Amino acid sequence: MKIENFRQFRGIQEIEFINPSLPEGNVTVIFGENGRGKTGLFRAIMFCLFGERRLSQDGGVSHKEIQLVNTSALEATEGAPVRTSVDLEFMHDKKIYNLRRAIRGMIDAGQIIEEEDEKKLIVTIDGNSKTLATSEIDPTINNILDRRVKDYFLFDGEKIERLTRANIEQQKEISAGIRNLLNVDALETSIRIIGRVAKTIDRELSDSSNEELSRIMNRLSDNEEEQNRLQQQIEGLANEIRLARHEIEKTDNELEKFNEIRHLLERRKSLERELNTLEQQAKDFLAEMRNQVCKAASLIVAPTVINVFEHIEHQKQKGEIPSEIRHDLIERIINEKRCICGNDICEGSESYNHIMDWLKRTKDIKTQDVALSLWRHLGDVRNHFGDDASIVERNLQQYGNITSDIANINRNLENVRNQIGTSERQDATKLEGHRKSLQDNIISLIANDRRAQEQFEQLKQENDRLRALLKEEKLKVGLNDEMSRRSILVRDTQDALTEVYNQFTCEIKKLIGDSATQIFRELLDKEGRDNLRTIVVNDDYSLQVLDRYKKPFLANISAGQRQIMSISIIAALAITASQGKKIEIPLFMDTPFGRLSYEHRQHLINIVPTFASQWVLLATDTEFRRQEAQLLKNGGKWAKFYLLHSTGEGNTEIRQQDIDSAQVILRDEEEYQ
Amino acid sequence: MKMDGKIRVATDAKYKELYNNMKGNGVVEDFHALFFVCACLGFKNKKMTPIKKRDDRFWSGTITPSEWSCYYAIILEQNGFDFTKVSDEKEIMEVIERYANSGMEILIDEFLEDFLLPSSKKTIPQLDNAVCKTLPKQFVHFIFELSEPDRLE
Repeated sequence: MKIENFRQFRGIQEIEFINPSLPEGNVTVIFGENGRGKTGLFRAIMFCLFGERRLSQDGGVSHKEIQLVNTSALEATEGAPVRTSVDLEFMHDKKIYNLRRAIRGMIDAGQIIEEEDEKKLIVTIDGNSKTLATSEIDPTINNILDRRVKDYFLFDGEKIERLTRANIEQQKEISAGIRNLLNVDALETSIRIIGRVAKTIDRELSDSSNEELSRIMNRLSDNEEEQNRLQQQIEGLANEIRLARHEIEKTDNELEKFNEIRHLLERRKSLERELNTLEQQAKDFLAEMRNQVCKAASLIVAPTVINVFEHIEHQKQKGEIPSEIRHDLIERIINEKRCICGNDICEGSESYNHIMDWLKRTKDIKTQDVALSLWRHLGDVRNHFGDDASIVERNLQQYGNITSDIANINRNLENVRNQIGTSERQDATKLEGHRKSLQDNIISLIANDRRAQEQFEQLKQENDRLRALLKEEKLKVGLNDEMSRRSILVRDTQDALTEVYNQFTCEIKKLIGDSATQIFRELLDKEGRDNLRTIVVNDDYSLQVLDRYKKPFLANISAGQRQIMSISIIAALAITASQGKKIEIPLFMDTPFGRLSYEHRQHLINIVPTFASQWVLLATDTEFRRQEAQLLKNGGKWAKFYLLHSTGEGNTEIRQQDIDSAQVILRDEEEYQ
Repeated sequence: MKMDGKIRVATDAKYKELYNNMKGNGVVEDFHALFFVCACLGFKNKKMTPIKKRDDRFWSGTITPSEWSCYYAIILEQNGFDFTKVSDEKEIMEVIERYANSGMEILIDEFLEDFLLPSSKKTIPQLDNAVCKTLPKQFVHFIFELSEPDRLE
């Protein structure tokens, strides 16, 4: 492929994909950071083949919004037109095709205008070249590859994920894919038109026939009208069910937001619980504080207590308390002036003075009792000072810790409450309620649908019966003229075509299911292979994966398995589009490794090259590292390696690299982290 | 120590509400405890204030032995260990009442000021219940701090 001023690629640049007929391998790696133009290369191929600017992954972006002409080239020419072209050389059915498509772009009044310029196709057969007329180009290309299936050759992460989600878009996508693959539009139109012809003939017949024949035809006509009405009703119901499911999905997404704050709600609950416990503890401590009051207050008079205690203690040690001689005995001796030994004691004598000295040192019995009692109590008080001080101090400290914890929790709570918002409970309840009513609605719609389907089926059987009766009656009444032969033939044709259509659709669904299953099981790791058995395309085009017990398991598969399943489905569509042969056009995969485990990556790298004749791997540094490069190299299928190099101003240069240089260019997982 | 339980212990009538409030807010277990704190405070500050208008507050029977022994020690230390000064417990209580009376003045000035109803400060002091949530803890903290210099010694 040669490109000129196409999107990020300024000037003329070339990229040579591998030649599948050569033994060098069939894998091309195009490596570049996001925005370098990896997908742009696939777009260039699609533009060249079909003149198509949009890819399915562009979503709602309109055709006109996608600019193909390189911006810096446009700016450099200062108003002069810039040519943008893609030249593609490829081989199909032993013929070489050289296709060129070009446009011209210019800036006019600040707007970029792009116009078609050139379209040219040269076909070379056995060395003889022929330029086809412009009008022949599109049919020729379309004959090689139907433009409706073009998107199945580019896988991108986003689309891959979407495919296995059970929703309306997925069903439409698969349904459209299968219809595109079948190319059954003409068949559908035929069935519709033949139905109309049959009605017209029957009306004419009815006018010129006998009463019984006319009655049967009228009933048949009524039945068919009823059938049409039911058909519309069924379609309407299906649409309503889809819309309701879509709404449920939206509601689930909303509810998912509450899931996101669920951890916050739990955190709030746990903080509130913790706060309650601490507040109760604080309350208990406060209640305990009043018991500490007297202990703390006694510490204020501790010096006095100790002083008095020590004073009494000292008196005790001196023997003054209790006195060695009783105070009342000495008083009696002095009063009677006679000693206990019988000697008289005269006032002023040496003995008298001695006894008086005794008297001073002794205390009366009452005072002694008080002193001793006080000594004991003060001793108790004094002994508890240390413990009391520790207890009060510890309690104050613990209370302080608790209040500090409470303050912290209140701060955290405030934070969590702010994050949660205020009305979440009501909103969640409302949404749950809405979801439930939607669910109820779906159940009743499904019941209506089932009833309508049954009625439809009954009418169909009744119609078959009436048609047989009509045929019989026509023969019986001898109205075997040209008109009735036509009528019978038209009805038979319509039935046959419908049968073909149904069978064909059914077969292709099975074919895609089988093909997807085969690839799926090859790509899966051992554990996945043990559990996941079959991919099924259901009647309503939804996808399902069955486990080893043949039970639906799609809802339970991992993100990696989901990606593997999607790759398998798209590969199956691509293989079917290639009519069961090896996929001829390059199979592009944009960052397919994202969610895959090492084993899955290994399988993908080994298996894709076996069913695609060319595999173009568009990779970024986050998913294509030395490990993957080594795997690819070991597989022996890696032939080309291109690096999309930024040259500034949003431009990209395609640089071919030696495969061995990958180990230098790429990084290890650890380096990336 | 007789620890007579039949003495009517009085405070100044103007502190009646405050005694009730302190008990009502769970700051003290009973009147004798607040009285003890005040007495210790008054003694520590060596200040005695005569009671202007006596108002019987509680029976001495609620006073604990530890409190009694502290009261004895206070009187003894104040009177140079003259045991005759502790021979009459009624007299002991009269002295202690004056200490408690001055102690309450100190308590109000140095601590309770912020917890009182502004309108009550100049008349009959009353607690403002709205600001008393953590008063028990702050009260103990205040008393404990007062003993700090002695404890460190």
